[in-house]
Amino acid sequence: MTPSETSLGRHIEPALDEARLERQIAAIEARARRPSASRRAFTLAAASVAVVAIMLLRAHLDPRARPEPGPLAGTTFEAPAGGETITLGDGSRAVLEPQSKLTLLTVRPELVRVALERGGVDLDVVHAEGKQFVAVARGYEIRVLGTRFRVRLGEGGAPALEVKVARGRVRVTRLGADGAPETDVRVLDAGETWSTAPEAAPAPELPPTPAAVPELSPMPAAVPPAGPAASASGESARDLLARAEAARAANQPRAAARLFDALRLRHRSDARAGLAAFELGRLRLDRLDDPRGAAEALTDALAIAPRAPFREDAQARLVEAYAAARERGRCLDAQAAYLARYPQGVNRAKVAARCPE
Amino acid sequence: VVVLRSVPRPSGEAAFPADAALVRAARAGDAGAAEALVRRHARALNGLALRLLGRDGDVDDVVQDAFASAFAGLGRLQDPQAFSAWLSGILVRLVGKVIRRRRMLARLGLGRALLDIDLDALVAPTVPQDDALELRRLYGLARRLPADVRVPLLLQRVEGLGLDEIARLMGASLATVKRRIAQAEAALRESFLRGEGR
Repeated sequence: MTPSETSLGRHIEPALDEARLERQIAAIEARARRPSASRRAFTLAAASVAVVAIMLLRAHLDPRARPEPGPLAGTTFEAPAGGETITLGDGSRAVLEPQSKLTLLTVRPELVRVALERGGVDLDVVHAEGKQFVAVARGYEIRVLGTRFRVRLGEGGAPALEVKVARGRVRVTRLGADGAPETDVRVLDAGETWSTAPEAAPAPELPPTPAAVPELSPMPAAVPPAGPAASASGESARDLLARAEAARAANQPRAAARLFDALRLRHRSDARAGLAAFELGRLRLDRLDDPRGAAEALTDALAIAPRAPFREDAQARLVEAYAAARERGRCLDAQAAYLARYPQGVNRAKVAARCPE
Repeated sequence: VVVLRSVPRPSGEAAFPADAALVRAARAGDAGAAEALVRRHARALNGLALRLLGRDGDVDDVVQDAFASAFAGLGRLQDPQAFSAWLSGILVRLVGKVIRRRRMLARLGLGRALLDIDLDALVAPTVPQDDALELRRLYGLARRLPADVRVPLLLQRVEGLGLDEIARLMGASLATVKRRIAQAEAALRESFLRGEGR
């Protein structure tokens, strides 16, 4: 049951990530195995069917529970220093870079789903009618039908996630907090590369609190004390947001942008993440002369918080960002999306005038 | 080189099978179908539990119990396509039990903190002010109400459900639900007159 778009309940969403969901699935299995006395009294027969179903479910997820070779979903490969090649039954290959980590989430004739948890992997997928191959990495899903592509998780200043297509075509989709596909981000053809922004910088590289920067105007009264623990490592979403707002109020757009960026990347399931991505998009567009970065952040904001109150503004600004980046095709797509959703929107005239030849 | 071989499955399966198909398959012991049902409904169920309980602490327990009960009783589900509504009903009744248990413990002087609702955690700063005010007022009162009154109030005011649906989810008659919501409304008016939640 999902609250309607107009109910108050839409503002209260659970923080449900893949790890929590996995824990819940494991617990459901355990509870199904040990029904309470009262339940057992009248549901034994039905429960036995369910227990079998749940145990089989876990057998898909837990390789230790699998008595013989077969679908190896749940198996994790950690490549040694020399890398490793995994060949599937249909001839598709995954070539893992050294020290990389890849988990097989689903291995069925019609669907192979793998998750890259560390490093990089070259995937050479054999085309088969009706078969889908999906790679999941850092909240994105890369879906293919017969192609060769590379997925890489970056660290430090490198893009957090990079997808490079050598052959064929892939679709990159952002995943929601529950791991379900949420928003299509890009379709990549052979030779194209797509990447996300670099992972938020490690704590020492994050901007200091505005109070610590000499040229700052006085700290606004609402800014919380930052103290020596001003590093963003482990910092709560609330504190990051407060620091970002303070930096913006202190006319430090770059510092504010980095803090908003850190918030949306580190606290993706927090209710503030969407707002942070939106504010980041606005800063990049209005203050930092970075329309492409703005488009990325605004797309992210729409994906993280598709029902947020700022949605109309985010969609309008996305049109503006693509226009400024001279990406006419995407500008037209974003324009059409805005006008379809908000035919009487307050930004209608402005949006309609964008995307010039 | 690791060679993976997988077990063939029947072809012609829709990319996104309906709940009915998944329920039938789960009854027959199909693990993939059970997994799909859990994954498909987990988010909605976690959300409903969080909004009714008002705190994250018990959500996992209640959601897991609801799924476990649902799978145990799958044979009793007459309309497999109605799995989602049926599952929600199970959860709503479990939430009622949890709240009753908490209140009983609180009366005995045990676990009084379990009745608390962290409004700051529940109502994010990004919520528009008028909605945030309304939510704070509702939950401020809800924590003091008995389960039989609190649950229908939140189902109506927070989930936006109609009386018929609330009655079905709670397994109560329409008249009972109307009476309980009237009780809750009266409590809300009193709380407003006392200036609470403003």
